[in-house]
Amino acid sequence: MLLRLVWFVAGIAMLLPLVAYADPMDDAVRRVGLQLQCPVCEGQNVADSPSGLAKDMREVIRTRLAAGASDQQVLDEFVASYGDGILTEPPKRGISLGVWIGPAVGLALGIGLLALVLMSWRRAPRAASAGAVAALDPDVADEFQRFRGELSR
Amino acid sequence: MASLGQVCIVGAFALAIYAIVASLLGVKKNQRELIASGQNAAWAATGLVVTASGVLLTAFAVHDFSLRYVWEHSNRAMPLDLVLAAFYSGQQGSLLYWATSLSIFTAIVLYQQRKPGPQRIFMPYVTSVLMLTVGFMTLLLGFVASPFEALPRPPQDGVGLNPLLYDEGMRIHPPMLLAGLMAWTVPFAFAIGALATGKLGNEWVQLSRRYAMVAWLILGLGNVLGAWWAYHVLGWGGYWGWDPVENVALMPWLVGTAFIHSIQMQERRGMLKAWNLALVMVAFFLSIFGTFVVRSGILASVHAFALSAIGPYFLAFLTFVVVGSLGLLFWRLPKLRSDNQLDSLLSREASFLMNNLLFLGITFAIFWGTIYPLVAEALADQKVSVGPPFFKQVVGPLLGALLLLMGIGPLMPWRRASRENLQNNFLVPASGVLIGLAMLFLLGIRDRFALIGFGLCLFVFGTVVQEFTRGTLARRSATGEHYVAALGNLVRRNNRRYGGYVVHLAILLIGAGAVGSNVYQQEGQASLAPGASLNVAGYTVVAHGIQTTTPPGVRVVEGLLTVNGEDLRPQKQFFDNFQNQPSTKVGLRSTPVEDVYVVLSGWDGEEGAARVSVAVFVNPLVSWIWTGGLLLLIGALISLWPAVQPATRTAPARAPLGALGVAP
Repeated sequence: MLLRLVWFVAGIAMLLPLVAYADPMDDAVRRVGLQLQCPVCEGQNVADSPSGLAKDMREVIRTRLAAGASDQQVLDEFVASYGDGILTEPPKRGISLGVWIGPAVGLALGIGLLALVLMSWRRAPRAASAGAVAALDPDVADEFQRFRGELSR
Repeated sequence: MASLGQVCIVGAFALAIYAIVASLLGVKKNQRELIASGQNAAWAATGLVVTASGVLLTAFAVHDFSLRYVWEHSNRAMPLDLVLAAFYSGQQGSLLYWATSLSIFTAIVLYQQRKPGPQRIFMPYVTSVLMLTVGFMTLLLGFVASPFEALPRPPQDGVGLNPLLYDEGMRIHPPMLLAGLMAWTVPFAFAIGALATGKLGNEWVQLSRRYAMVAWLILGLGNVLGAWWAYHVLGWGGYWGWDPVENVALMPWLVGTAFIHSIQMQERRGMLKAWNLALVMVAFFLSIFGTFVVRSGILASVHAFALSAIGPYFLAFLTFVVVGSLGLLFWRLPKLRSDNQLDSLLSREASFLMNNLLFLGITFAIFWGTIYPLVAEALADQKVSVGPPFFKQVVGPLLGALLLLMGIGPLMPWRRASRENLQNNFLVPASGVLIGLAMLFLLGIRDRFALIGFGLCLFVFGTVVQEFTRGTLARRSATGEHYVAALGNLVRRNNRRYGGYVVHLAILLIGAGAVGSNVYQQEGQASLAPGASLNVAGYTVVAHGIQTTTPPGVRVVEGLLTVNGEDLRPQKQFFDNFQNQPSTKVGLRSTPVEDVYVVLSGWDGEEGAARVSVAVFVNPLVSWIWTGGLLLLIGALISLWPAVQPATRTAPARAPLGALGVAP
């Protein structure tokens, strides 16, 4: 039953003339559209999304730009009605600020951890007798490693 | 069909559980037979999972629409190779593919480690961990998301495949990525084996290094192929969109790269033992996290083909392995002291530490950006979109630092660099960079990011060339071989090191491609009447209407264009049953310098008289990325090639003194 319906719809679609699929875009609309997230599609921006809503939004952008609005004004208008979530680049304010701070905090923690490890290695050097340490004198060992790589035969 | 497949899955689940119990009990009671029985059960489970896959493939090949999964994901009009790709195009099938690839990895490990030897002590645990994951997958397959669910009345024809998936790239990149994610289970299993047995030395590292390299290679190629597919099919002019699903496949690869570098610290210097265990664990966690994200649909993604309720199961499994393995690690922490200290901040050791810091920093930044929409929603009930601009700004500089380190690190000696070391090693590459930058500047490259990016690439290139040249010359003067023979033997006898350099070259090509295409992409859109033209970056695109063809199952609309006089035909394809989801076939003219990339975005009118809407992108250096992918494969294979055993000659038996005629 379902399948027959699907075939029926497909058949109708085949009979339609090929005029419906047209959406010319100029560069300015694309430039703004790239900065806006399509609200109904999964992970696509307004410039690239084939969805109907994105198409309408492109039309709005076109109209506003033609009326003399700047890119930023158009973006601000979309933010006013959809919230910050409409921007592909999260703004550095409000809850979106967190996404910018996170990596910095993570990197700082990493550097801190690294520093701690380095200090602990320096404070408690394990003497040569304590473990398996290269039997060679450090300078000789370095040269040895280098030349072994280059000359091994 | 349905019941045969289902029986295989449930049987495999039971055998996996038995394999775990028998292996662990065998160790506890010290019964060799029980351990062997556990391994046999793992073999049998592998056989059953592979059989189940065979059943599903057969069902696809003979169009058995009594299976709901086959009906949903294929139809009679599809060619055979696509029918087979439909195997992993949905939820249940990709789960089965995962279980199958992991089972095959299990079989390979069991086969390679079958001989008696020091590695045998790890094997019961390795088997258990692998079977735990197979057991989890078969649990889902058998009782939650079965690909063998039967339809009461088989329909005449199936629905077909999601049109996005009709592409050659679709037949390679998902299986590569999925197998690459799963492959991290193997080194993870050896890590757990090391922790459980308390043998925390170099054994587990040496055993798992090759498996980790293979996982790294498969996942890396999967990512490159995924980018290639996105470039050819998604039609937005780029190859990497920082989409959640792309990110989760990249993260384990980044951590895995850190692991592959950092284990050298343990092998050579006995350092970072706990850290290496933690790294391989994180790579595994991120792999499972990746499979969870792909399959649960918790993050908005262009890859949201198949969603269902298996998310909570994945979350439970992930929690279990995270808590369990971190618990083991903390329990063993006292035994994981470093054998050596750091001698100097100017040393190979220090650059490996920086490497780890950067790789983990990048991974964390990507992770944070990927999950932040969830965090914001949970904390403040607000919708936040984290798109490509965030990742480019945050990850870009870190990747630059990593490129710099890729040049510096390999030139640093172990332990401590002297002033002469530094002069000796850096003079030539650094002067090379200055000359190269001057040339780029004269060629008209003024953009800051481009100059920094290309400068770093040149630096890495200089250091790698210097390493190859020095090695070859040293070998030539030592052996008197011809230059070519000296180079060949150098690489063959030090394959791990020089394979690594080839991989560095590959990364540098990918980096240069990314810099070029990000900074210098040019684009233009226009709706062109027949005979009208559009100019983008020196290319003239002229439109001549459209042409419609209807091969079975699909309606294809081609834009008839010429680019600088040569034909180019970008397409839109409308598949039956998916009329409202046209898929794109980009018109592409690729040269080593730049790609002309044309998308047919619309048309208005009939055939030759139609106005054609096109988006034209000129993307510099993109082909370098694909070349880099190929080189990555070559370098990794050189590294993985079995090492040349040093030639040994049996010393003549020492003759008794008297035999030499020496008078006492």
